[in-house]
Amino acid sequence: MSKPDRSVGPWPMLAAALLSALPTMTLADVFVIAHTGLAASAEDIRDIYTGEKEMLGSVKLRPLDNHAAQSEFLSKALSLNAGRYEALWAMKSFRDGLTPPAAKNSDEEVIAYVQATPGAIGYVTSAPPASVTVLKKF
Amino acid sequence: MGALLVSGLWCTSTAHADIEGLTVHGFADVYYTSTGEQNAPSGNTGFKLGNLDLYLAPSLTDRIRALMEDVVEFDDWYSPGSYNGQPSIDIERLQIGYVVSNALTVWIGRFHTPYGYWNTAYHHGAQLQPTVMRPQFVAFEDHGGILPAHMDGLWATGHDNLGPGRVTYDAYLGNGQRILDGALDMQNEGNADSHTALGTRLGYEFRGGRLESLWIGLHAVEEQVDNFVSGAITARTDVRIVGGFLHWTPGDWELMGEYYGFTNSAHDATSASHASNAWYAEANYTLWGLITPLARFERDSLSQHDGYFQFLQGGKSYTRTLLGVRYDLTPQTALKLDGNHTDATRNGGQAYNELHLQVAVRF
Repeated sequence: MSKPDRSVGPWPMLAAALLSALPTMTLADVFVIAHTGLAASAEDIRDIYTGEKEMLGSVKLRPLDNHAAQSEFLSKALSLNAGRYEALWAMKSFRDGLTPPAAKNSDEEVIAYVQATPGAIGYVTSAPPASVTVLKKF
Repeated sequence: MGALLVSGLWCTSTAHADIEGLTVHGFADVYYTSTGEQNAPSGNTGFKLGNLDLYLAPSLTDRIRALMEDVVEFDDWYSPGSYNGQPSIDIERLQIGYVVSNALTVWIGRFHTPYGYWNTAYHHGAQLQPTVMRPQFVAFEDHGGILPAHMDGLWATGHDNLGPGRVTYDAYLGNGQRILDGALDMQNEGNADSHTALGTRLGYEFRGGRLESLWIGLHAVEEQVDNFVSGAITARTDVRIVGGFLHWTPGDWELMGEYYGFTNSAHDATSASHASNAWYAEANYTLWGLITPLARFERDSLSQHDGYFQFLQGGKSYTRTLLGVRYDLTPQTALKLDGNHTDATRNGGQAYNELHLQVAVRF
């Protein structure tokens, strides 16, 4: 029984296919938005989404996750993946009694909530309207 | 418990209309134990049910929140003679808090006593902790622990930025513990002997740089603990505990340790105090985000002339070397295997080996 020929396999074709697909795999920009008048730094955003900061001044913060953009936001803003983010909040909830950010399914839903809710912070991948404050673009 | 379950499920079912809906979370674990200890207070070899832990964490208003946790478990550790095979329900935490600012939240009720790392980080969350078993001296009061794992009282906690990291603090007071039937009792129904426990934990957590995530700190607890036998006090002991802790997750490593130094003295006497100590150190390393080999060493040296350790059934000196491995089947499901050698011969106990295999989930 002869050994399989490993000198030329499917890898060159696979690599070429992956390279050709690269332009379409570019990650979209993520805009972190807030209710009008709210100001927060990149460090604040990290603290807010990891449960370390609940208030900005006297304003109760209401962070919101966006299923449509979550993986990109977690990667760019928090350097976390979805599994570690979920585990982090499981621990925060158990240890400190904190409630994880509520979640919406689309940019439109996030924008509508942020517009209407004092203290709200969310993130979207489409250009946000002027009726919300853009805190940071990742 | 039923009310908690029903209310939690109801809240979940109505959460769609309100983004701040409430969900029941919890932990459950089952395990297999093989022990060489004769007449082991923790039971014999075989399959065992661990804990069923359910908790709710509602935000009642912008500043008021609550934490309610119930545990169903078998409390057979110190009452094997009265063990009837039925589980019991413990109100683990029932605390209501007011958020003053990011730097201060004040809680009232029953809470996990904030000392060291393990007690507040993992507690009944078996899926969270790296090993099957807690360090023995950090065990719950009714499982041989020598520390007040729970407290009924007031607790102020918070953190604030300082330098390259942040200062963390906890300060609390509550009903003093007493010893009933060889176990610490935190007096949930009122402070019968009017002794107040005071404690604090002060820490610093590095953020960024080479020491990112390193949390180090000091802790202290002081209280008078009376030993009760058939309703009568047989010893009064002033318990003073001072120690330190660290927790660090550099890369895929997790390093932790806690130290407790005891300087206990008889309350009614002028005799010298008795020094005791307890500590552990643990290291683990996670491979491919899934497999975590780990090692832990535990040691306590507890004075048997001390009215506190003399009457606590877990108040015996021991050393334990533990090796184990954890495999995360999913982010919510852990399979853990621990083996340890324990030597409790310094106070006339046994030397023995144990093996624990556990499946732990969170939901």
